[in-house]
Amino acid sequence: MSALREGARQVMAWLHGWTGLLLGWVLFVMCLAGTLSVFKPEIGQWMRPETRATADPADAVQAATDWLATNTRGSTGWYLTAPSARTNTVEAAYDSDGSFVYRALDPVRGAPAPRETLGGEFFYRLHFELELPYPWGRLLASIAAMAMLVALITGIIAHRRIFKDYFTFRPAKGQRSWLDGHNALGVLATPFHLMITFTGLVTLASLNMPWAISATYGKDLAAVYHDLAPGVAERARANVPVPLAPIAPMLREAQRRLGGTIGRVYVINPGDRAAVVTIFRSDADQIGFTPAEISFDGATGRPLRAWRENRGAIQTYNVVYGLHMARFASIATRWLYFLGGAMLTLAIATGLVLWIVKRRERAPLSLGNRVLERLNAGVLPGVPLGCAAYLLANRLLPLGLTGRAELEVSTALWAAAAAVAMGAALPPRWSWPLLTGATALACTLAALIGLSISVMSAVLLAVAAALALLAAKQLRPPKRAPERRRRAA
Amino acid sequence: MTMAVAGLLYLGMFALAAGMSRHADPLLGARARHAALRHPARYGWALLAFSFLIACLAGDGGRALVLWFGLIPFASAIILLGLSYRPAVPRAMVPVAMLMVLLAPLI
Repeated sequence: MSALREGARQVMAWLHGWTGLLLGWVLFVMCLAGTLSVFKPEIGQWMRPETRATADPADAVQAATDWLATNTRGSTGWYLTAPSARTNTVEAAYDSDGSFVYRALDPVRGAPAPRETLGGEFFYRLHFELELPYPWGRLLASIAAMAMLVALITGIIAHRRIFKDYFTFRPAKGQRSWLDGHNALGVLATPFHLMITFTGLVTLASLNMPWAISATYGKDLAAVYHDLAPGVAERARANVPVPLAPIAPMLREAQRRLGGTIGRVYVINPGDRAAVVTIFRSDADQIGFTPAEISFDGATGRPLRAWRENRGAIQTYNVVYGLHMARFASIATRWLYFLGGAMLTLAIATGLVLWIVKRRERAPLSLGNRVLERLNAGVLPGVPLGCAAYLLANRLLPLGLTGRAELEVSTALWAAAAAVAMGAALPPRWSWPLLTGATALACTLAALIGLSISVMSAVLLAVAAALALLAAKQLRPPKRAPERRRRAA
Repeated sequence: MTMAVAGLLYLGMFALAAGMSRHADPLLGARARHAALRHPARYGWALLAFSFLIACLAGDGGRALVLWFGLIPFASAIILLGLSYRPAVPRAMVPVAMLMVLLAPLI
């Protein structure tokens, strides 16, 4: 019996190692970006220091639609998110002259913020689209999420002493410390890890398992969307230009009828006689997403249709989705989400390092493992370097530059690519401290340039200090003592 | 309410750690021999269950329950890092957690 159990455990450990290795780097990017996305609005606000004005959500959306009405041409839709306690700008995604753009709009003037940037939206998109074209990024993300679930479950089964070693971390003991650290990062936050992986998978389930939808609806996607949000009125474009009625009264009416606060505002066919304004209640008011919506005739401001979600299956899905998005979370819960995400990111990183450490202590590394060692040295410090470079580019690139927002993203991607190249070219004992040190420097500069005193700058400085300590530690030659002690034992 | 949940959860995790032979000494010291502290793990599970119950009954649409699950790694990490580097920190957090539980009904 116990031989069987031991055998099963070894199989689980084998599967844990290989799933982790194959998709580990992708998961590292996803988890780091997801962790940062917890503070998406706050990061956006930090990245637009010139935009300080605040306004009532209804007035801000009115200002935004006024600006959009005169500055877009041939739009099929404006997708707006009203300002909240967490951010002062109106987030707007819209098309104009055939191209789709994302802008943060000033709540008073309605014009885009002068420091053109994607803000936290970059990390959010990176988290599940991985900067790859649709649908490949999302497909890769959902496959990686499945591997994550497999790695979590096999990891739990393979763990020999999950309760006895729960509080155990033995530092400065080589492989033993890496294993302890990897276990602690995984085990202490197991409920969070399982929750965030499962809810993330469900979020992308209609992409990798579309058959339930296609069996019921065939190819009629419009019917799917209608059934998911019956409060959204759909109308074909009339091609008769009629200006949009004032939107602030619609918002106040929506607030009165839906309760809570205003969240998203969609304007479909703006400037047309068939324009529809749909207003959703804020996703921050409860765990469940999209709890209620109401549609207005855009030309007259007359209510068309309202819906309060009370179907069990949809509400269940909305809670699962809402748990992943964490929009409902208070500031304390948000930091705990950040902690859980950071622990998962570090669990993946330590797991990838452990693969090498374990094999290095047994025998000299094979060629394949030496390649993996250098990939680790490039990717693990390189992805955070890319994130830091993104924030630094936000501070350094001049305002008003054409394609400024895209340049920030390119800076992030090129910095990460350069780090991976450096990891491949240099021996790991140099590339690790150099890249970690560079990330610390980039964080420090991003926090200090512009002298904006904020929580985020303080967090950046704290991260920089921790990374600088880590880099200094990596520069010291490795201790040989633990190995000798192990052999004597 | 969340303060009581957090305080009880920390005390529960601390008691669970103190119930492990490897950690009893750094966490409890000579007090481990006290008759009332013979079986800290039992108190630990009871405290965890109690804080979970309060979170369930909070009536805030599940937010306290999410917080409860999020607090587990936070409380555990304080104890784990404390045991490795500075056991005085998790010990000093015990009266703080007790104070949080006592003050919670007043706020």
